[in-house]
Amino acid sequence: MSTQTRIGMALAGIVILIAAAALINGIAGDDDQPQQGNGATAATAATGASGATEPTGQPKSRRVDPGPLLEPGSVTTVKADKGETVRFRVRSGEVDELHVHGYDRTVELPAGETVKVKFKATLDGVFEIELHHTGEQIGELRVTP
Amino acid sequence: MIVLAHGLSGRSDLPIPDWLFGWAAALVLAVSFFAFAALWQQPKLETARATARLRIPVLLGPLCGGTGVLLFAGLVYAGFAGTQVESLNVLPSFLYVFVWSALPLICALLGDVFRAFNPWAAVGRFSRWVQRRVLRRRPEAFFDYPERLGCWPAVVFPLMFGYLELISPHGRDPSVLAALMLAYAAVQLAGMSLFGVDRWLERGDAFGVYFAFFAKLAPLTVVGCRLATRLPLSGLTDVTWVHGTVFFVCAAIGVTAFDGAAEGGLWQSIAEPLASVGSDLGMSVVTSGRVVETLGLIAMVLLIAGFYRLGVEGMVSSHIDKPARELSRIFAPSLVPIMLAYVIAHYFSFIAFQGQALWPLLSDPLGDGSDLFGTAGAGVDYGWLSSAEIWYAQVAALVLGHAAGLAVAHDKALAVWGKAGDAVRSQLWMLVVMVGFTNLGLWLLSQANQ
Repeated sequence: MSTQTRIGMALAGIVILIAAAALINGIAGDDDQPQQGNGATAATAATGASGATEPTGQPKSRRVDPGPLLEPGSVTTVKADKGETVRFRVRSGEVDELHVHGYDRTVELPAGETVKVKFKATLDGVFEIELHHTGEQIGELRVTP
Repeated sequence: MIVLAHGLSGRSDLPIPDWLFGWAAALVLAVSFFAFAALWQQPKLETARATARLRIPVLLGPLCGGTGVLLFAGLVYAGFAGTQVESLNVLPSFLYVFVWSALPLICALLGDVFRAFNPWAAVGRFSRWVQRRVLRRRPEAFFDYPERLGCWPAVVFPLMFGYLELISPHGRDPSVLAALMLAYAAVQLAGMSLFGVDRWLERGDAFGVYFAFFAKLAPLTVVGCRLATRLPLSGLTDVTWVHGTVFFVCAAIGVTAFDGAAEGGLWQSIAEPLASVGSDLGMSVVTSGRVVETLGLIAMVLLIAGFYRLGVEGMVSSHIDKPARELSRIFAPSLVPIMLAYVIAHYFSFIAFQGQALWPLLSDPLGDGSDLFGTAGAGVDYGWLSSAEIWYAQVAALVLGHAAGLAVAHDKALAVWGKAGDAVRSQLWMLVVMVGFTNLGLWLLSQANQ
């Protein structure tokens, strides 16, 4: 390969990087507005994936949404941003124990009662929420950084 | 919905965000162009030689082998005698976290560690030694290994392991794993006694073949009875490629890729309708789900092998004066860094978090409350790596794997064709293959747990 071709190739590499930077900044710029929106939707999800209609979704609203209801038979996603308070409710037909992986949180569940769970989302990632006795996964906690 | 989760992992990865995907893909392209511009003009890896440094004590080999046999026996015992709760028994974590996920990385850094501790190989070598020194007779293989078979006996293995790890409902049952370990070791012992120890280990011992690939990347190796250093990647030039070796690598990449794809939305949307076709045909929901996943695994392996083949056919079409099979073997070493990159990208956080669980498990291997080393109470710190740090490590592995793959292909092309036009033309096709694999890897990361 001649020196000229080499210089050409190197220049092509630089052009690609610059183009990518411009393009990605463009996309990120577009994203900026929805990103606040994103935070809001995540917060709404955290406070109510079960169709809660809280319009603002600000963390410090006066009426605190108890969050989605997790029951055996389906896997419900609970979303939160890191640092927020995660809230959800659990109901099990039988006496069981709730276990949130990663956070290693366990909560006693009396039969047929709805139990409220809340804790601070300090770790990001995807964590399983399961019932200890049956071993069934009933939820998934997604904490975004 | 089909729930596919690592039963062992407490924390799974978030998908890499779009902006990182974009940056990484662009970086891959830019690296490729720089590679063409800046890479060396004379083959370097092909001509590199290992330099012997340290004499290894003669006893170290048997010592490591013996340790391997003891470890193997202990793990099998734990599998049968210990608790059958997968996360409390040491066997599933040791096998999936340490052997399957972390050992490739260790071999790529330190050389063929697995070969040193390989339990069945140790038994085979020991029995050979006994025959020679004690019984004073020459150990002979009963049969000559049929070379037509190449390493096909080993190729079935990644697929079977993939099925066990990703699809089978019993893939994490300690007693099932222990039984399979015994079965595998029995097959290896039979193979070694029929075809000779070394020949069988090179062709039929899938675990050995698998880890040996990663060890070829390492800057350390053993020459004779000396520890030697060499240029990283240069070990790839002395892999013997026989029938099936290329497919073995593609199968290993395909299994990891399927593991990633199975977490993603696209696969879920393909699998669900297919699974419902299966249940319409009279299969139970669970069975049809498994059939579909098995088909998906095979399809992914064929996709990877097919894509590589496509690149090779591309070279043939641009009038490079070599048959397709030979071209396929010439450039296959460049797939090995990609294989490692896929393993790191996919298992990085699994090693980082679940690897910590090995300490308490080693102290209490049977799950009966014992505390052998005083570490039984240690927990897993899920907070020491943030999602962003995991993303960067994953993307860095793929981009570096890509660069290493290109370097290997480039060096090979120079060695075969010199600076001729054939070298450049073959390189362009390899570039297509590499960019394809790397972007597939990135895309899989962007699909993780979506």
